[in-house]
Amino acid sequence: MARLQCPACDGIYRDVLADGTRYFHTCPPIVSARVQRLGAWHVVPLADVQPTDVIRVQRGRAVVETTVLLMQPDDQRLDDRTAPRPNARNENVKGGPGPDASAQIAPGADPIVVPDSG
Amino acid sequence: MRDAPADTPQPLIAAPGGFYLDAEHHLRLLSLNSAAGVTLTVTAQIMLASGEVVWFTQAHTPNTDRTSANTNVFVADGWLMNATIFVSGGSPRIGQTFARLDVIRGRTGAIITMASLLAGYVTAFDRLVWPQNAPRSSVAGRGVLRSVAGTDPAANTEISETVPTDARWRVLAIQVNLVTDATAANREVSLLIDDGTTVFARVPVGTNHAASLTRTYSFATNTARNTIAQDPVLNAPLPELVLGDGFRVRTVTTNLQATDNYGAPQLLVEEWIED
Repeated sequence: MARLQCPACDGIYRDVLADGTRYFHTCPPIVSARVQRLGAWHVVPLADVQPTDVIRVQRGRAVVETTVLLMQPDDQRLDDRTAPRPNARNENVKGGPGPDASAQIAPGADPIVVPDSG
Repeated sequence: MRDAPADTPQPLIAAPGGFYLDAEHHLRLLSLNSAAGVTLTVTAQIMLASGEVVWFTQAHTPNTDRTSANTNVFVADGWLMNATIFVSGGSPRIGQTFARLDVIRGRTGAIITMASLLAGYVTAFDRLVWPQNAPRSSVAGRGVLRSVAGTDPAANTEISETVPTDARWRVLAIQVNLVTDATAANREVSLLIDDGTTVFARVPVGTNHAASLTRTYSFATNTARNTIAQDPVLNAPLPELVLGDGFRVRTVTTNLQATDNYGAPQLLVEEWIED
């Protein structure tokens, strides 16, 4: 019952659950925002969004452009994207009748063991 | 299967549709299992041509990833009187260890399944006995109730849980915490259910989650939406859905920020094995 960290998404999980069954981690999709930098629009991961980036938001009934820094609490950021994560891992097995039925769908790099207190 | 030799004694208590097993016909035990530490044993009672009744016993270790494992049981020529599959190690519950007993033709290469005598879930208490028990589907009846701890994602990452290969889930409840950072923006959480690609159900919580707050999102069947934004626990109804392997339960969060952080989701599911 190791506590593991996925090298692709940094998610933390246990490979065996409390009821003794195995847990098969799959990486979640990556969330990106559409931002304007230096006059050009880009799609960047959420972690890379800068305060000076321009975004489109729904403000009341209007769609307006504003910087991230000047976003109002009730603004709703538009144009977010959810896409499969590059190098996403999928520990689920392939299944089926073939000899590789127990092979993982997308094993990727080995997960890292992390201490329980971490 | 060929007929028994003319001089073979007929069983005194014949099993319905009794099987005569000769050098070409054997038994095969197949299993699909998700529980840890399970071993199965199959026993078969055979009446030999001499009229003597003998027992055959074979142990079998299932896989723990729900993929198929099988063990051939080679018995002497004779009439199959009865057969039993029982749990000889571990304590699986209904929905965790599915077993099937086949009559097969051949030992290696192209083995042909001639008949399925038994199929169903076994537990430490419930065994499968031929000819008493009729074969059952792995998705018939009730499944096993499981509390599944999902992945605790990194910051600015949605939760996403996938139904394991060869499992079928009925999702009964999901709970997850979200801690928002200091960025002044109202987040709104929606639960999405998809087939791995295409979304077919979306449940918006319908309540804003402001900056620097911890909220617990609790989705459950037969529950009503919580309309009190200040309540640290936000309820939302969960549609009654049965999900096949590869289907996902995930969130999409409006205005999710760079250091917003979900905790590990906890799911209550009813699970079957589905090959």
